[in-house]
Amino acid sequence: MEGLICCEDIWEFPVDDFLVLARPQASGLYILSPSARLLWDIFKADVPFRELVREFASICGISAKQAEHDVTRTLDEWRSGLLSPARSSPSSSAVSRVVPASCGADLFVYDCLIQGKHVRIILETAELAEEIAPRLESLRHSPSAPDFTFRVIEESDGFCIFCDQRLVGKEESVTAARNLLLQEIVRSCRDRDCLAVFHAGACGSSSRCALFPAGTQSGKTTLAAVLMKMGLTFYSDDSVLLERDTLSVPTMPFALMVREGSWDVLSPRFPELQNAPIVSRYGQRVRFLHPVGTKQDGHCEKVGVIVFVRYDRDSANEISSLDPLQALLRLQESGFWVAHDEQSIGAFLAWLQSTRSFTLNYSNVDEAASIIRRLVA
Amino acid sequence: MDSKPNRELESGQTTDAGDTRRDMARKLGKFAAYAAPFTVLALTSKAATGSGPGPQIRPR
Repeated sequence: MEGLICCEDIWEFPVDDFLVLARPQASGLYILSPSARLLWDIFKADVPFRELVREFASICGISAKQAEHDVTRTLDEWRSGLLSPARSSPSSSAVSRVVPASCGADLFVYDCLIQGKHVRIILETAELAEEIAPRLESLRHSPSAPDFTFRVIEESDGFCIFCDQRLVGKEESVTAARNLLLQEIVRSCRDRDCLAVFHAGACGSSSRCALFPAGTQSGKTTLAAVLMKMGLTFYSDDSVLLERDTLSVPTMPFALMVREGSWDVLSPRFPELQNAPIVSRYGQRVRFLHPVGTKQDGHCEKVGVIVFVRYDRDSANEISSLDPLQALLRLQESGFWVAHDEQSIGAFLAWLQSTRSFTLNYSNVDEAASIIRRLVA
Repeated sequence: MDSKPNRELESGQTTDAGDTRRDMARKLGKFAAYAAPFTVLALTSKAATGSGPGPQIRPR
């Protein structure tokens, strides 16, 4: 254990039969399967290796040889990751920096009304404007004294996002900077902290919504648009905030980015899409669709169901339930963030445990939307 | 040094902690069919909570 951090310094969160561990000084969650959890419990007792192997083999009903192999491999993984000396603090990047005085001219300025607040967004470069401005178009408002001023500037190693004079974060890419900017705008306007953020879409009623997490370009936007056309309230097609304490989901009122592959599916439903300007983005052609029927200062009271969606042209639109371990592993695949303190992680896992989760592989977006609508009803 | 605990294990006279773990395993019924342990690090990052450029698929 020399040179490694102590088990006592690690936060533990038992969930059903598995375990989640977190290091206070480094972001990320370590998800331990049931047998890994058992091994962790024995390991913590600081028993000699041979005894550890024997006990693990005995409880699991496996041979000593297999137990030694699995225990050795698992301990090696833990020593090189979970128990290795601390990495940088998860909050080290967002410190009290101010907007550099030498910041360039305000090339791209957008005054918007978002969640009932006047927001001024200042983007330093054309690249930032191309990525962000089309999503703000329906939110534009005549200039007035802003409640918040957001500014994104480019530096040699990334993009800094400021709210008024406070640095709220720094990201390496334009797309990541856009993610953080839009999240921070909504969070600031609502004056609520986030417990978690998901790479997901969300649609539903004012009281319950379906959260549908998925990786980049998995069909979230198309599904959200179809659900919106079915009459469900749109909350987001890309990033979903889960607010602390209330566990509510605020509206992300920004335009949906529809890639060319979905134009044929959505144009009959949204004729305005055919007349929308075509924008070239990373070699792909996209159009932007404004949310309809959305209360721009609204929120959904709770997530009623989580549906991990995956488009597969050969799928039979199959749905099956997931247990919390499977759901957490799927969230890890699609991308998520949770506030890194012991209370927040515990609250997040309790929320996940109490929320029904499903997986839905679909080939027909109408059938998929119908299934989600039934689940959230 | 570790022979005594081994004998105890072999005779079923485990320590309290061992009993607890064994009871938990039985109660959960998870080890009737053994699954090798795994640990997954979920990197929680706001940068990963929105779409970036990537491979395109075509929903129908």
